[in-house]
Amino acid sequence: MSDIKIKITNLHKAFGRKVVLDGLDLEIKKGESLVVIGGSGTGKSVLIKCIQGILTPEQGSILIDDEEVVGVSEKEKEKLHAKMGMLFQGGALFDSLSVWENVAFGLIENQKMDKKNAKMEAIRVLRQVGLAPDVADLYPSELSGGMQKRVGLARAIATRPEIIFFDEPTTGLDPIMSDVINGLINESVKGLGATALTITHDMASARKIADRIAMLYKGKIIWQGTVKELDKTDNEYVRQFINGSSEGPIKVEV
Amino acid sequence: MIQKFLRRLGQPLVKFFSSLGELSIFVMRSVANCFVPPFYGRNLMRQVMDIGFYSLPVVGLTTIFAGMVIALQSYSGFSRFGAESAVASVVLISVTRELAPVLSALMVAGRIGAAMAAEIGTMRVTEQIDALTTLSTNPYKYLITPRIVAAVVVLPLLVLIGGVIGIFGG
Repeated sequence: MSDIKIKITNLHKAFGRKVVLDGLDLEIKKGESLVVIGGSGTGKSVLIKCIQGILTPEQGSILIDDEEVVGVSEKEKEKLHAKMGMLFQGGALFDSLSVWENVAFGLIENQKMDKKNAKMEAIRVLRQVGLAPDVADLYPSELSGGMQKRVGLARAIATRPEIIFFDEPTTGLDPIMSDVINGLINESVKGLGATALTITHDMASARKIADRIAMLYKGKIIWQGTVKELDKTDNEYVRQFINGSSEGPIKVEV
Repeated sequence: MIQKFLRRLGQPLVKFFSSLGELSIFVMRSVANCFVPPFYGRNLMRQVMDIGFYSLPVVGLTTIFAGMVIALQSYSGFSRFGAESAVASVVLISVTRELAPVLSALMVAGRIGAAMAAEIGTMRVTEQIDALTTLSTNPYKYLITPRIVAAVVVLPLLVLIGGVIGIFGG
């Protein structure tokens, strides 16, 4: 067994004529927290969806635990998804289900846990992300944005996945709440010993979560390294991105 | 010139057939999933309530008026020939054979079709369908199959009730 959890080689994905991923290579080690940064519309979400098998890439290979993911059957995919958890950008909570049913969804539907135990487990996980037990019976529409993110996080970690994806975990939150969520992400990822892949363009969040940072630009990973290396790099693209400047090699296409 | 013309003709045709194909695949997958576990009983019951029970008022209202109108109109016509006694059987036959099924189906299609499109559309946009997938649940089985099964089971019952109400109206 190698210590590489996810290995992506030469990944291509296009929508019609628009090429989104153009020969992307990336490796994620076991237990590592990798953050992918990059501008809006550079294909960060597409990358995650390809790894999860929601989108099928035109070309390239994705190995998870040395097993090919691209082009496997629906059944295999379901098995694969049992290993994964995901925190969606907007939470993506099921609004017809109460908070605890959301959190316990994976436990009840896949691990066939009975309802009583599942509810207890859901409440335990909710407490872990800092929510009181009485939130469990509310519905997602009755929660604030920060609370929805917490519930989303609870749902992502409830099944104790080996790989967790975070899709812009701090978007739409104030800086303080962002920091709280970042802290929770760190805690839960380290607590589970899981491998984490986060995509974001919030640099504060990236610095806090990441063991390693990779920058995505024009469908390729153009730079990767630790947070320390990030501040010292003389890569002009990365420098422009972390300084948030409109002047530099990256031109914004309108 | 000719090439341009043919292209203009061909493009919509290709589009039409590709969407026809997508629809067929969708229907095939949905129907196939009706017979493959896991089944989601709770979702099924909810859809039965939604499609069946909550459609009762609309179906009842339309059929009762249809029954009334047929009775009234056929009476005004038949009375000229002194055939008033035929009104009852005309109402009975036209309601049970034609109007109850057509009206119930139309009402359900209109009411439920729009509601489902809106609901599933919202789920798509807010990534809830992707979330289902990542929780290793097949969205077809979880969302589509219960709706289809519920509609198939409930519609005949609605027609029956609609028929009774229509005759009563007549």
